[in-house]
Amino acid sequence: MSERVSYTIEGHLFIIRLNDPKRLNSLTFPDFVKIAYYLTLSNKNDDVYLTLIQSTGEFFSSGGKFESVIDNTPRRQDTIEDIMDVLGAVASPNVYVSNAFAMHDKPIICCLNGPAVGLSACLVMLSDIVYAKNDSVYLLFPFANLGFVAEVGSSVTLAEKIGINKANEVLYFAKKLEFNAMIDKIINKNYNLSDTVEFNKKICQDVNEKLKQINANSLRSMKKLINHDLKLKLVAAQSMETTTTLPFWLSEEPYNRFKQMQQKQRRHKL
Amino acid sequence: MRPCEKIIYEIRPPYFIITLNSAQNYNALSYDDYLYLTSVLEVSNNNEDCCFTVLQSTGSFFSSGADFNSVPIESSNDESHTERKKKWLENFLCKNQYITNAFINHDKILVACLNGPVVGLSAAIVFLCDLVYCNNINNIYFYFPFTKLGLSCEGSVSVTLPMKLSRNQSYQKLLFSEQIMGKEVLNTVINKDFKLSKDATVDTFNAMVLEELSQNTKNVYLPSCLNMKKLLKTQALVNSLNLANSMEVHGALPFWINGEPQRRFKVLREEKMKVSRKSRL
Repeated sequence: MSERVSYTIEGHLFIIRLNDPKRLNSLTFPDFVKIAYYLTLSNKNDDVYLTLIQSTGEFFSSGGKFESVIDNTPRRQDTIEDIMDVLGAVASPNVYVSNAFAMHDKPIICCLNGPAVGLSACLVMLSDIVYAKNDSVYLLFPFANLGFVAEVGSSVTLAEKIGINKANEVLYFAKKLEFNAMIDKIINKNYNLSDTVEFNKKICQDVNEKLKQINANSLRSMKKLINHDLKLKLVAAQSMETTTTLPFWLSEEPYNRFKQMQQKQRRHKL
Repeated sequence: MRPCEKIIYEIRPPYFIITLNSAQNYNALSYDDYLYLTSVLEVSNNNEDCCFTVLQSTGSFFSSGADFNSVPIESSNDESHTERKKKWLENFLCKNQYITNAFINHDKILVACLNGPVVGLSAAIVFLCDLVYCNNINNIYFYFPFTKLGLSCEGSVSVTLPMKLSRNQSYQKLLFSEQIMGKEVLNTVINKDFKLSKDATVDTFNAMVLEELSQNTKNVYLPSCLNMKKLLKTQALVNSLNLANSMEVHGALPFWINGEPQRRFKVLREEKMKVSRKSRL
């Protein structure tokens, strides 16, 4: 059985792959941690110049698996064990995943084959370069819908990349961030394709072509310089996001809302 | 050509006009030329009658960046590490940081009049300017070939590019040494496109910019302008630019000590393929 999250190294590219298209590449908390862990592996490998995140099918990722959330945030939080479960489930993406991205030495390229929701949308925002398969892609940050707050760097990355007013709208009201609002700010290029396999392949070809004349040390040095100020903001945000979101998870609100989602009682904006 | 022939200046209060005057070699500049430019900037800074430092050029390029022929050739491999460190501290780190610093901390309003493309450190300087005009946007591109030359960011572009383009676009253009076309930065970097035809001379364009500035400042109290610059260029921004400048040169020093940029410049020289001069994308 192929893994939902895996990686390969092809030449100088470290490629993280999401591979559960039937379930729209929805991810569990351990899946997110795995992505972060792979980033640390890429960091340690001197032959790697760039880290790519690629997906499959029509969605980049529909975000957190409801079951994962529901199982990890028990409704009754009477015992210390329950509270620890919540702390573990919530703090780990916010600290470990955010950190892995903020501290990554290589440029991160996100191959956006389709919409991305929730924590996976946050990962798109943490990427340095984003290529879109076509203009049907969008990002959705449904945190306010689901009873908690911005996580995994989105309190910084959205304002940084699309401006504070637009970021406010996207986060307060869980409004879709459409292609038109993303082009040139988040999305570097629209490949105008319909097949994800072809899209992923073409990106690797294009990137490898560009790498031919380029010095690897230059890439790493530039990333360090350009990322410097954002890194500081992201590290500060990790702390603020985690401490702000925890009380919400410790209440019953997210659990109830995820349950409702699961029971399809709430119509989402997907 | 000596630096003072390549770079000429004229004082026409409130304008201090600096003209790059070696059109025949696309206004490529050696470090000695750039250093001379910083001395000229100082003259402008100290001139109480001037409010604007206007950078103008000649020929088809605003500036094609570093003069390849002036990049020091590697001498024998017998040089010790300490000797190499000393050599590149002098020939790269000090000069590069000093030149960028002069532009970051210039008090007068910096105006760039783009008659054509601009490359490398010269392009970084244009990104440090307060106002940018061009003769025709279709003639203009900015090109930072740093990664192709085994270099890193220079001229504080690690701050100015994310600030004036977007962060993600900066990565694309800098990491992959891609040209930034004029149209991509209209109204974000380029304040006005004069839309002049191919027949219009650069002299005409340069004169039109000065006329435009005169019109714009007709009812303006010039000391207000200068203090406006101080206000807008906050201490936080200046600190950020200064920090970037320092981090950039220190980050690239090991590359020069290691010899990679020199190897790549040598290849370019030998192939007579001027990175800065050939076809547009």
